[in-house]
Amino acid sequence: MVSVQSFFAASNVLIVAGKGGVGKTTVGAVIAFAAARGGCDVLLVELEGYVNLELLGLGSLGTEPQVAAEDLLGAGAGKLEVTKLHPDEALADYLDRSGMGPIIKTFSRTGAVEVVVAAAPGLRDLVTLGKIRQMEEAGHADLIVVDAPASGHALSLLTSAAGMADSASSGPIRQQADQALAMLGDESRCRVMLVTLPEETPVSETVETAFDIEDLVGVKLGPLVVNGLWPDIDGLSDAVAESAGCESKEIGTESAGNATALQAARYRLARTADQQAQVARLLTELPLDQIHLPQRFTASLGLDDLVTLADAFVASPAVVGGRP
Amino acid sequence: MTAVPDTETGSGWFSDHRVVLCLGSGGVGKTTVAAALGVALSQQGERVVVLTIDPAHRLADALGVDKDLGNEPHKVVVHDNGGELWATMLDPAETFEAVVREESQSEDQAERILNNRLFRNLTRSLSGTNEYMATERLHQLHSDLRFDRIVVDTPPSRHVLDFLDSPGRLSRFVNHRLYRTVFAPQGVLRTVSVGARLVLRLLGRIVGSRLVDDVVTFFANFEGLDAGFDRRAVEMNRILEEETGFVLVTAPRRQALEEADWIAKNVERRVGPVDALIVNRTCPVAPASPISADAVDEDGAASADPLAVNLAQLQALAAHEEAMVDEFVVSTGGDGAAVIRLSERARPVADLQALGELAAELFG
Repeated sequence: MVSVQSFFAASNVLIVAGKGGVGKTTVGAVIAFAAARGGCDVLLVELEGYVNLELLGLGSLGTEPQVAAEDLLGAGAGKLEVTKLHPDEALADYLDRSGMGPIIKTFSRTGAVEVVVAAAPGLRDLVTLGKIRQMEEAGHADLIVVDAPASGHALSLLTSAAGMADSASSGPIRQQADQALAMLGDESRCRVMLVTLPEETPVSETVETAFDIEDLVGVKLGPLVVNGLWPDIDGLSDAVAESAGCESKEIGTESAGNATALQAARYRLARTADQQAQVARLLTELPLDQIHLPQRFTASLGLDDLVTLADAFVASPAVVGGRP
Repeated sequence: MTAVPDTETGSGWFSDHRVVLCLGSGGVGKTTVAAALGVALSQQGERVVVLTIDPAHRLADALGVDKDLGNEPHKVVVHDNGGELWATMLDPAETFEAVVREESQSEDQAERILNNRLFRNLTRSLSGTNEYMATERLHQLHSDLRFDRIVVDTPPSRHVLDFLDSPGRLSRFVNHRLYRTVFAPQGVLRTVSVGARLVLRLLGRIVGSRLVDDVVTFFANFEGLDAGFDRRAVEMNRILEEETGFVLVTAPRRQALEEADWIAKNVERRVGPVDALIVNRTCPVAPASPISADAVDEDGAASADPLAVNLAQLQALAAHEEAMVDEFVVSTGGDGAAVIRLSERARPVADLQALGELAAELFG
């Protein structure tokens, strides 16, 4: 299992990005948990404001980092801590420290933030990146997993540093931007992992985002996580073909239960075929290793799903084998 | 705002509203639902335009339109009963340019605003700009007599409700006290007040002095336009409050339902209860009752009939979904909103026929 550990040790920060609804938050938690189980001390940073408390076995999450899934992480495992980071708060803090405190106090905090964001749109993202960089440099955790905002916003988060470096030729902003660029450009410090579903629209958006990220940011992309793959059931298509044969011979004798099972099987086979086609399309359109995570047959993931998904994650050739 | 449905799945739930606004978090199929609503209404003989803000060309995909949609509405289909389906995709820059040209007192003023870097930042990057442009575009389409009904697909956004806050956004921005203090109106042009120098110097230290110059120029150029933007904001708010039906789209997953619940409560607080809840992408198999013990066991059923294994898994999924959706409907949909479930398709909805099937499910 040495190579699993080297996968998680390959960079200090993993930014998990993807379009809304693909399970990005879940995958972030799975990666963080798998890494902790592999012996890393992990900090999971939620940027979206949404934390899947049940998946992590948490009752609530306040402003302080909180230890998660402790019972599942035994001897030899690292610590998993979860924390939230609010971009607006980060910016307000930054303005405070930059000598704008009196102005922020005079006007409303949100108002001041809104105005500054309008004057310099990349600043909030840059300050957020700066916070992540500070966490990385402080070295409190071996690995920082960042649950980034949905695609478009993730891209603006990642491109903010280059944008601000262009518009500010000197001063504290330029310094912030340069430091952020140094982190993003160094794969031993930071990688981005994209998450997608094996479906038409998410796949198209992922391909677009992947190229944008490489072109505009120059950050190293880790393996692509394909989430929600329906597991194959051995013999399902044969069983459908067989039943369909009986159906045509003995019309009217088929029980209602059988018809339902047959219908469900056809749906499953069509879904699975479409998923496989999308996986194949991803392979041709994106030169990235893939990590496949299985669909769970529940509407609400819990700790047992976290374990199952983490098992699937570390069993993936893209993790165990490493990249040649 | 409080249209009570005559049947659970009838079209009564938004018959009074000229505008139908689809809200929801990412990945729930909002764009597809908006397109299906457009198809359904056009089949009933209405002239419908679907406005999408989606940059991923999904509406064009869903409508089977090959070329990229632009700001100018594209006629997708005409029915025998006179119904028409149109589709248009928001072009934020083009929309705002039209607004600025309309409101400016001279060609010169319009050019100065359009060429200002802060303005370009505003139109491109300000959080909520897409939403703001969408309300401006909605305003334009609202006065276009070619359309009986406007279906709006809102952008997936960090703050879904940005759309509802959008109408006054620019006015609020321009009238922000920070700017009011810095740029005290003096004569025709606003000049920098003496007390504001410190503020500007601090701001310049943070965002760069070039940007501060842009800010000063921008507000000088904006002179006289605020009244027009205020008026538009009032009109757009009226449309949202009086002529708009709200359709909340969600999916049977915990995160999507929690976000939908939050959206519903906030929409209600601002403009009134949502008119319809659409739970999209539900498992297309009836749930088992009770859930059999081995239903969730994915690996231990090697000896069983593969058809039964699959059925049990799908029934378990359906049962989980139903329990979760029921809870959501009780907590979110208590005010007589229509509740419609749309089942997941095995293949992507990519043509008018597939949209027509969804439309048929929408109207029962």
